[in-house]
Amino acid sequence: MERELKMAEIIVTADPDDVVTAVGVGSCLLISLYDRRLRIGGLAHAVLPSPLAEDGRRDTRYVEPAIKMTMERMGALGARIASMEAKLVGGANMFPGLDDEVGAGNVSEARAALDRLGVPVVAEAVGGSIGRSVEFSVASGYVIVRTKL
Amino acid sequence: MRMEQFVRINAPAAAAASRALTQLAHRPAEIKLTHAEFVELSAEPASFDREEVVDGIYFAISGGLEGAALLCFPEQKAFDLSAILLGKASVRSAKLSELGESALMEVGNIICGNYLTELSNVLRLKVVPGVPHFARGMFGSMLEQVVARSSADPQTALLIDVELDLPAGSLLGHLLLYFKTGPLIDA
Repeated sequence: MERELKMAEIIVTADPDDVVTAVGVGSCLLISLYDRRLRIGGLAHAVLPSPLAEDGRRDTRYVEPAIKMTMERMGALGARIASMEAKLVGGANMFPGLDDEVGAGNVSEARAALDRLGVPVVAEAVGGSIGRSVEFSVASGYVIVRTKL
Repeated sequence: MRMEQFVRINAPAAAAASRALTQLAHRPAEIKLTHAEFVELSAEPASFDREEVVDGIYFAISGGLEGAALLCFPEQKAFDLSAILLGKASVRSAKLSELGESALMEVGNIICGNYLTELSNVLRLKVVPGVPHFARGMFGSMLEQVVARSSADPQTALLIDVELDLPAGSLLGHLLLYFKTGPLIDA
């Protein structure tokens, strides 16, 4: 089943028929997490690198909380950190003349958080000034990235 | 502000913008700000496909209100518009020339600037657009960046249809206005 992921949302599933999609991603960052052993997948759509205020909320708009919550939900289905791998898509700056660090900040925050959590980043399609759409297959773990140039 | 108050701004803003565009294009030009609706930024505005390639002009909004504006034209319409403004035949290519981008940004200045001037008059606050920034790409990816720069909270924005009537034909675009100050938009 095709399931569409929107901004600040997380989808975790072990259904091999599921394909999680996200359309027109710009400065936001998609973080796919996949347990190859059990074929459990999670996709998070983070908006900003870090909370603007330290309010203690676990808010999936932000990169690190989004990654942690995705991992926890995958863990509840039996996934193990040792079997997980991550892929990153997005983090663009759509307006090249604009001094905007949101996209780059999302990418660097995700790399650092995943490193701290012990999950390797095995592939990336990040940066630049292009929008991207994604299909994440739970059966294969493949992330198909589509863009329009 | 309620929708009817925003709609009342449309006519004087469009009249002022039409005069400015007529001067810029050296020919009669009319801008109409027509249908307006509130849209949830977290959802997909009905008028757009998130993957549709558009030419977008982004403005930060500052002064008495903070927020952002995004004026979008479908790719082919943007080529046509820049060609009209530059007095050339419309030729589709991978990207607009620098001059074409400048022409579109000037149209953005005219439309957004006049709308915010009228809004300032109604609110009795000075609300000004910043420097325009141009992009070509998927509408959804531009929208995301506007939301991310404005606030982390996907909220309500005002979407206005923009119709440009020029001797060479009509073009339809969209102006999306987003304000950090939530209570401004009373949906």
